[in-house]
Amino acid sequence: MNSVCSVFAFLFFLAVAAPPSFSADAVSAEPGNTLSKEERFRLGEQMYQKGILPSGKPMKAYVSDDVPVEGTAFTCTSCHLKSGMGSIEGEVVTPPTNGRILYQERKSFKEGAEFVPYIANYSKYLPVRPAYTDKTLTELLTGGADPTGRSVLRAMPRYELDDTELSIMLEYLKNLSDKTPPGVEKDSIRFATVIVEGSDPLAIESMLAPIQFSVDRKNSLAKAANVNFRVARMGYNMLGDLHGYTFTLSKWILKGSPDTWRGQLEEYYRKEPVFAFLGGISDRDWEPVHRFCEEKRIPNLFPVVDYPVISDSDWYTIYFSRGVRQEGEAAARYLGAMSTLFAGRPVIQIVRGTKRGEALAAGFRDTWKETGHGKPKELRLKEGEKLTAAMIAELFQSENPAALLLWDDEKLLEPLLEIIGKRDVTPGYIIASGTYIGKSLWKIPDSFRDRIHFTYPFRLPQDDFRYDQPLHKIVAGKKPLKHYDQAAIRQSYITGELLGKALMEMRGEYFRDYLLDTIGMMKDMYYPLYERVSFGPTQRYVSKGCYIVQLGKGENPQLVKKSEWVMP
Amino acid sequence: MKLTSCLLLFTAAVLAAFPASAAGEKPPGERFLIVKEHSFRQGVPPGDADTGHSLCGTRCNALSFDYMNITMPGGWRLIKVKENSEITVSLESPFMKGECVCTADEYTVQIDELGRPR
Repeated sequence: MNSVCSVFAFLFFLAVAAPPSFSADAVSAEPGNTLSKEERFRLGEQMYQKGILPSGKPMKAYVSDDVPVEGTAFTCTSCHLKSGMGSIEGEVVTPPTNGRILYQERKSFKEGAEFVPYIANYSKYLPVRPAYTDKTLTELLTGGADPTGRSVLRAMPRYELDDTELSIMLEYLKNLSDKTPPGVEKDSIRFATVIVEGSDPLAIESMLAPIQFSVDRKNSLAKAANVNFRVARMGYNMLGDLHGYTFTLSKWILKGSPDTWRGQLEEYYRKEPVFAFLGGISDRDWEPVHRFCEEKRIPNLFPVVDYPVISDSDWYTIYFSRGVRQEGEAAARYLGAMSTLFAGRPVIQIVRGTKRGEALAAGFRDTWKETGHGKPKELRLKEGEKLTAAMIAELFQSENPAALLLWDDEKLLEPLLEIIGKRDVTPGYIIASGTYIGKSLWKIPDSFRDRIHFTYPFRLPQDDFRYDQPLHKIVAGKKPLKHYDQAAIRQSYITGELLGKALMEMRGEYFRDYLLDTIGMMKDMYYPLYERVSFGPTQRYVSKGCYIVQLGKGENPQLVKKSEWVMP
Repeated sequence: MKLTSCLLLFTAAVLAAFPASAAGEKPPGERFLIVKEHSFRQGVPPGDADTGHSLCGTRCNALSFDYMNITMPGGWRLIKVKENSEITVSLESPFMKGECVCTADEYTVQIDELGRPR
């Protein structure tokens, strides 16, 4: 009797706990088709990326057979990525989930790429299966079985979706990474770089040189492969079909006020649609270009800008760092670790009223507040206003600060050194920006060097020289490396390298979101300039650190680290 | 003939006596530390031990070299020359006295001339 009860109880449990399955026939009836195509796409995207149903409620799902979870925590995009082209995380390979690939039979090889190692190896890794149909794809989403009847990984959620929701989801998957994006042709890919007129000509030249070098090098391979079968074979083994592609790089010059840039970008894009923006440079804003890329869904890889758009959710522009403000953020983290020792003494910022000064101060202020220290006191200097020793002395007298942040250019040095020389008691810490003060940093007299700290968002020069070798190749036959903008040429070198790596890993699937997904999956890299660049699926600022340094002793001083690579 | 043999013997003797200079070996290069542990030693007057330990973490890590730097560009590598060296440095805090004891492995750089890109 007991055993009969147990069997009934078990069957009842199965009936209750198992996610309900849905009739695939209902899907083909296209419920919810009163909605426009665009609206259905938007709702599908919302389900895929955020796990939110068209009703606005979270999708319901089960993982590990019967553990209920909310779809917002297990979104499709978190494993299959935004492009739907899948991911590789450790030893877990998540297969592509875009309709074009799902609705094709999966073989243990990719036709035409059997001898391209990185494509052939990937193809071998995933189990073979027949092509999905709407019916079998519905069974996969709701029951977790692929067309062979085999269960997919337990980590793949089984979703509770009604007929309308399923129909919207299937339609979305069918459109995901489906059509060749603008700028990609049968054997060529078009890129552009956006240059804001008025930027430093040397910085423009330095930004362009490595990117143009990468493009020219790629085109040389394509040309050589066309006339020499041995080169073609080598290129094919390395790159597959990519070896024969040629790249073009257009220079889009933006003139006048930032308000007019949008129109200029539209016009350039109308005449010549491009796959992605590479680099780019502006000594002012970048926001209009950033917004344009978001709206047109165009990747923009690593513009050389000091004031990037700071956003946790924007997707299409990847920056080197959070820009100038990252130094202010690092200073706040550094001082924050010792703030319990300040005994109520304030922290004061002297802020030059320039874009750079304000960005540094904002970075410090925001992080200082975020870490529970309230608002720092601030003294503002207008753009042309002279900072005097008397002003600093009065500040020391009246406020007795524990730390003084000086966000100004080299003009801060004269009054500061004067006051430090005269007074016995100064703030515990005086911190200035290494990039704002520029080359004057190296001129600080020996006796003052241990009194001033600097933020320094790059690898120290004495370590970075080891990375110069590839840069010399880029400038070979032009002019010596030292005659270029040292930061811009290194930054653009990173752009060229990452683009090459990403395109190789894309397995011939040249979709814009996949380019960004691929970069997001890359492991930490060690390139010139930055101590470390690291990536993540939604991370958009790849160098996340900054050193706090002092100038060392002697006639040919080096920078001396006073902190680790602080993560702001 | 005898003179030639003598010269050869003399050359061999010189090479045997100064193998390093004969092979063109470079003088030992820069040394790097990779810090593994740290501790805080109180000064006078004593301060908060936890804060001191935390600040020593920053201080000692600043001495450390990011060993991952050696993995990318070809042409050089680190060779361990000493293990568990104890390096004592001042805390360098204007608000608190004390010292930091950093335990580190010491490395030297060896340039691989053959593998160096040209």
